[in-house]
Amino acid sequence: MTAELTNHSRRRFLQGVLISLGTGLSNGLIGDNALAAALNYRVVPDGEPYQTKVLSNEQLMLLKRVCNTIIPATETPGAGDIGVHGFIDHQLYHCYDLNVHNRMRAILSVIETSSLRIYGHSFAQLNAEKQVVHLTRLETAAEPFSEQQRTDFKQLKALVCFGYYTSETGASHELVYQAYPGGFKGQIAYRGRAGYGSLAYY
Amino acid sequence: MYIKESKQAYDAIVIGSGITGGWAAKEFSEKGFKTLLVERGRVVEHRKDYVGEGIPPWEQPLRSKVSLAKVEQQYHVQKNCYAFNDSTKHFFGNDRDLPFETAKGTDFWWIRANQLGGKSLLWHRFSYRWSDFDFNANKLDGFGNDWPIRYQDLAHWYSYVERHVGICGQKESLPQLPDSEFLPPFDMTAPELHIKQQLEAAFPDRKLIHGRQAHLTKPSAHHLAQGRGQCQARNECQKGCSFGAYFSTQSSTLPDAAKTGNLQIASNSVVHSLIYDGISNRIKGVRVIDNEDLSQREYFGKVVFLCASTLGSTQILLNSRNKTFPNGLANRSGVLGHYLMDHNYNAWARAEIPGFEDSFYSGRRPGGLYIPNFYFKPDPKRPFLRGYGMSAGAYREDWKAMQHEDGIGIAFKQQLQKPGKWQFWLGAQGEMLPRFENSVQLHAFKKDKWGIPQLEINCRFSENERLMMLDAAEQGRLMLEKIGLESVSSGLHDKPPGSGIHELGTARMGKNPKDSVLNGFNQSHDIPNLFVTDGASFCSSAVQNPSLTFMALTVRAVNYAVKEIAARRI
Repeated sequence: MTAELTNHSRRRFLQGVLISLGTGLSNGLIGDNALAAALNYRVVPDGEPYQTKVLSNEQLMLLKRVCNTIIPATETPGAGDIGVHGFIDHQLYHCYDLNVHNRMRAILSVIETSSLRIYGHSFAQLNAEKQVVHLTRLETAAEPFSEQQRTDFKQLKALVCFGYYTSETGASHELVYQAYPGGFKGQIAYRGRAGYGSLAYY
Repeated sequence: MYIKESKQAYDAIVIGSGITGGWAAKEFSEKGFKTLLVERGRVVEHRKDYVGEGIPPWEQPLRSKVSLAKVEQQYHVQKNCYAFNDSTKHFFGNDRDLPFETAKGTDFWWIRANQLGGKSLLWHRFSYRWSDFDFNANKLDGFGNDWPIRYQDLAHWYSYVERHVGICGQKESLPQLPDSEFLPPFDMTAPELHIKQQLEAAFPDRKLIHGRQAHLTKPSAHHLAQGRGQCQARNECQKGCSFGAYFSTQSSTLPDAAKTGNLQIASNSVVHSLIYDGISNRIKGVRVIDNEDLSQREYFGKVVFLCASTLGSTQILLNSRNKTFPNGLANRSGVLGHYLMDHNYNAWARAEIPGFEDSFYSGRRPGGLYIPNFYFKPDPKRPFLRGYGMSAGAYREDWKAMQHEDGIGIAFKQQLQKPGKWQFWLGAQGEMLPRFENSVQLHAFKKDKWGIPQLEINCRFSENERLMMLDAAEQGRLMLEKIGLESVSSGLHDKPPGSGIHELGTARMGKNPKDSVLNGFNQSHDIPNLFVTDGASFCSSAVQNPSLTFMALTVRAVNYAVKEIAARRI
């Protein structure tokens, strides 16, 4: 995301607030958030050059498959479709230490080598059903996977979920995004609609 | 309004611009006093400087996280605060610039907010009156000194600040938790109403009530005139609220003070020490170091209010020692720096709520429910002194909880799309006894970048607090089991003092100048034109959050000081 977009959102937001309070928007209200915005992860389409930070390009492509297996496309795109794999590479680089980097690289390697050993094919070549079976076995520490591998996979899965449900698609299309709830209503009927994309703290 | 150098002799100098400093500045300014508000940090302007507000997560650089390098280099203490994230980090102190020491074998989380508005921007806004059970507690069991005031001394001032601040809640007529002047409470959810009914029937001595908070659920004409609007239930308060829907210096006290034309603000002015005149036995002014260029300057005034936070105010007094007061200014008693307290949040309980699948809520309530202290009457059979309140609330699980369950693929995604099980939680907030040995002092040789000696903090929870938390975890479990909730669990944290961010004591009030720093009006026993009205002045911690009480103490102290000045006793 660009600095312009962030500042545009801030301006739009403040205009709304001030109109609601009956005052106008003066110039110069927007702080310069350009440096922060420059750190944002930007989705890079497949095929475009992308300098990975923690993972290799091969690991990144494998992670894309893993993302789309954990959270596949339904009425909304899958996690890999919206670039969660690239986001994870970016997030690992900025927010996690070398130990986590190594464990995430290692668990991706486990997914690939075990796929080759069990099915004779790389994970990417498995059909969608087998990919689900494979990751389910890993997640439940079924043979040949260990408890430690299950733990590491759970962490990778949490990164996938975080990347997806804090994305615009995940937070506001898959879930319901309430930027301005307008107050708290304690009791409303639940009729099967989606839950809320959370905004407060993660 | 913002000044740097000034030769003016102010009628009043207020040090610190958080909750108490904002109130002192408003009261003095409105009474016609030429007032200088001295703030060690930068200016934060309402709305304009809430740079983390209103930005959806996908537009945040690291989706609310702070980079590891920044945390390690600048926020290794501040990161412990629940409200610390990328949208709020600019309102927390930079640990690299704010070093402090802890005594061997102890730990302390000192959460800092050094900017205009201080922690009024970051607080959790719970606002509870104290009762005479609280003001009597020290006298009854002998821990700490007797408070020099009782509820009736504060009742009027509680009302005075509440009408201005806007406190939502509901009248309950509880002896241990006097009612405030309330705006309507936030709704309870369907399971919360059910649990309230069940719990109060099963435990007749206990109540589950609406949390009382400084939120405008229904702003009055007075609040609207301040430029404040209704709470939107975003629960992103610590990013700053452009609606002014929660009370802060920026949203509430500062605009009123500024309107008078009597207020000036010296920002980026780190108070090094107070200037004492031994002949008149008065404080003449303050000596400050510029936050940015480290130059020195002085400001002069007729009365000084220290509102620099509990430890901040005490650090200034300790560093203002002189020949007359070799152990710290206004410290003839010798108790300055002692009897440090916090609240203890180290016990929890939680459970699943069966049913209510067809019920939901809308919005993010910025607070929850409350079980007032049910141990407010002393009982020698109880294995610990004092008691605890409990925060509480129900919610439906969302992706953050459900992501950890096993599941891969479409079914997993569909599961995370729907709201999950109802959960109920309880969190204790226990009173901490005032103990002489829990203390702060100036470090013998370590200084910060402004040349001010660092604080060395020596504070730990005692066996009394440990036993209290054991009881809270057990009582939490018992309550949730007895009302039929499922998968009940409870337990203990091991967070150190400071983690409650309710530092209290170290310059306590009292009737006797030999064992207290301040009198019953927050005025120094030793130096008549010196007042301390923040948490430093507290004799005990009670179980309730302290902010509303130090607001009331501050306006009461200003009212007293103005009369004393008129009578030429100050």
